[in-house]
Amino acid sequence: MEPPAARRRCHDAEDHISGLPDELLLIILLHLQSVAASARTSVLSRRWRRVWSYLPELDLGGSPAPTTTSLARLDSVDGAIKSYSAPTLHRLKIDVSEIDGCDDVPAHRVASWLGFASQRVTGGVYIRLPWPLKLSATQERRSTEEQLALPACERATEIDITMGRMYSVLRLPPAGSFTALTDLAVAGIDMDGGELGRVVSTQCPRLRNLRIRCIRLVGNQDVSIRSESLECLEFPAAHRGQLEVTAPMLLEISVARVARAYIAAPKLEKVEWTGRYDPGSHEFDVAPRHLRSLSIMYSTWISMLISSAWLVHRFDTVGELSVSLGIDKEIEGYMAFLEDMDKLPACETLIIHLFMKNHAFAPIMLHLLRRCSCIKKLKLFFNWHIPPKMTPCTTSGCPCLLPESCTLNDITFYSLEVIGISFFTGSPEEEQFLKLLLSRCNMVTLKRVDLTVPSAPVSSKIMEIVEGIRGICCPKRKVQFNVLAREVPKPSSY
Amino acid sequence: MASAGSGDEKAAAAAMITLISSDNEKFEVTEATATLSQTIRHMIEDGCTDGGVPLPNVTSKILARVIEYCKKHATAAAGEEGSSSSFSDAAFLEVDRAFLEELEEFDDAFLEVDRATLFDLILAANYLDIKGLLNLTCQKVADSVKGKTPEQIREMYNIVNDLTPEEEAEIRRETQWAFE
Repeated sequence: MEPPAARRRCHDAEDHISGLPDELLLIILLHLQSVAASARTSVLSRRWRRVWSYLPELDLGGSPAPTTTSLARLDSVDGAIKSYSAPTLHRLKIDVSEIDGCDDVPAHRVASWLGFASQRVTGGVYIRLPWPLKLSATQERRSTEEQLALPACERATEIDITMGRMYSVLRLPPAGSFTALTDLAVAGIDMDGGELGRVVSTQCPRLRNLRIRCIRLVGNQDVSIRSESLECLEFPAAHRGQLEVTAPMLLEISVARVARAYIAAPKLEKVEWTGRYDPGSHEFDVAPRHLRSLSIMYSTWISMLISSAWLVHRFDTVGELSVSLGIDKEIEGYMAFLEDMDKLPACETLIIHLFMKNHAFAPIMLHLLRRCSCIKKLKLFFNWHIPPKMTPCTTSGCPCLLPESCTLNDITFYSLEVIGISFFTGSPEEEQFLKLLLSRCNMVTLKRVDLTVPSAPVSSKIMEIVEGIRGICCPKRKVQFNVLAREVPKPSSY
Repeated sequence: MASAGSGDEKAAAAAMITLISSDNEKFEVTEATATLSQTIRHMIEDGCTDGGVPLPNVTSKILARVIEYCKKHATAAAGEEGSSSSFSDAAFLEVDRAFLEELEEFDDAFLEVDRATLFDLILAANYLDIKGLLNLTCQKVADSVKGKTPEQIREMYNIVNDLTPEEEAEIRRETQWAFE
């Protein structure tokens, strides 16, 4: 006798699925989240043969079976593109960055992907290539001077390509236009500064966000951008030439090491300047005297390369001021810090990253804090290696060792509401600093002290120290103390 | 219940919509429930809902199920709006999570239908433009296909293979990359 399940199936023997219109079959195929699985439906019947090749999105190259060879992965990307039938697609993503044991994606393959993108994509184009493991392999390939050309993409709204230093230069189109492009991000390939400036200025009429990362400029070192639409520019690429930006709508700019710069941006709100800033060669023209956010780097260690302390003098008020500090261990380094950081713009939030520890840290903090007594929020990041190497300054006569460097008697933080410290290790030096700071806070205004400790779980020793500080400094317990544990990021390569 | 004639009740009564299925059955639903359907939302915006909304493509059996889904998810949407301001409040987050779990259980139970009903729901969700329901039902079909060979898919959905062996071989050659 037939089991009931089989009887039901016979009863319901109609092919419901093939009767659905293409648009619905495509939604079902999209939910498979695999272009290959979608393409396999082409052998089901004549009805199914071409359905998959009209998918509105192609997400290729990712999450293959562990047995798939890198060559097969590249072939599958090419195969999908070759069989694709729809005249346009909304999104193309090709991610072969995880390709194992292969750091070679031939330029002609990538060129054909870019060609496909330029003709068909109406939305986002994302391409991720692997970063080669061996530098020597890259250098070898560089000698072949394999160039890659990005054709004009008329309809794409977003282009985000990471080239993994595989090819020598990304050439931009001499003609044609990126008419719909609002977001452009390029990483890991060399570019010609003149070409970049020309394309952004004359061929991208709607570009709002430009992110250039891990790019070296070759040929023309000068980049000149004139854009009516640009709102956000990230340019953390070192270059020896000049960066010239004239952008009436620009709100945010992030720049690393650039020899000369001229920035004309009347609406600028946020500046991140992590390379050298020298008023002689870097100029902010018609920019406002107030910023929402300003990040600078100050170092007397390799000051010529990365200090942007001068930039703080360019602005009167800043909503959020972030200072990254590295101070040389010699007395001269400390003295220069005292002098260069003698005047800071008025700010509501002060963030201090201390990434080198050659001097007693409390006097460094207090020097900055004395200049920002009106702050509402204070965030401190002590990013020295864990466990912190407490290397007290041993240079006799260094001002950081003077007792008066460790006092705050002349100042009260009337408006301070929140204090945050990452990472708080509970060392006697930190304990003493926190007690001193709290003794000068207005306990009516102060709401919260957030302490992040380097490793979970929070040790009872730290809790004891925190309780001790709270008991002495905030006996009425109105102020909230939060102690959190955070995973430590890998030590950075400073 | 509010007393008769109160402003609240008038507003509530005004916000009721009548949906009429293809077999002429009438369903009274709140505007919040009905407007999960973009199609109906546009009709309300255009002011063409007086005297009921005829839905000639949806049978009463399927419409009843669709309304069941919309009622549940309309409450969820209202809940989300209400709780957004208290995001940091742990108690609210707890409530939200419990509610989301309940919603997920509802969706799972809702999908326990025979295949013909499932495809009717897909067609109705598409016609009424109810994104959540369309995704839910299409995901169910996609999940049933995942990891299956073409032969298994044909058998499961009664798809008749009308390709000649030569044609099938050719397609397999073209899409060889997808089978590796």
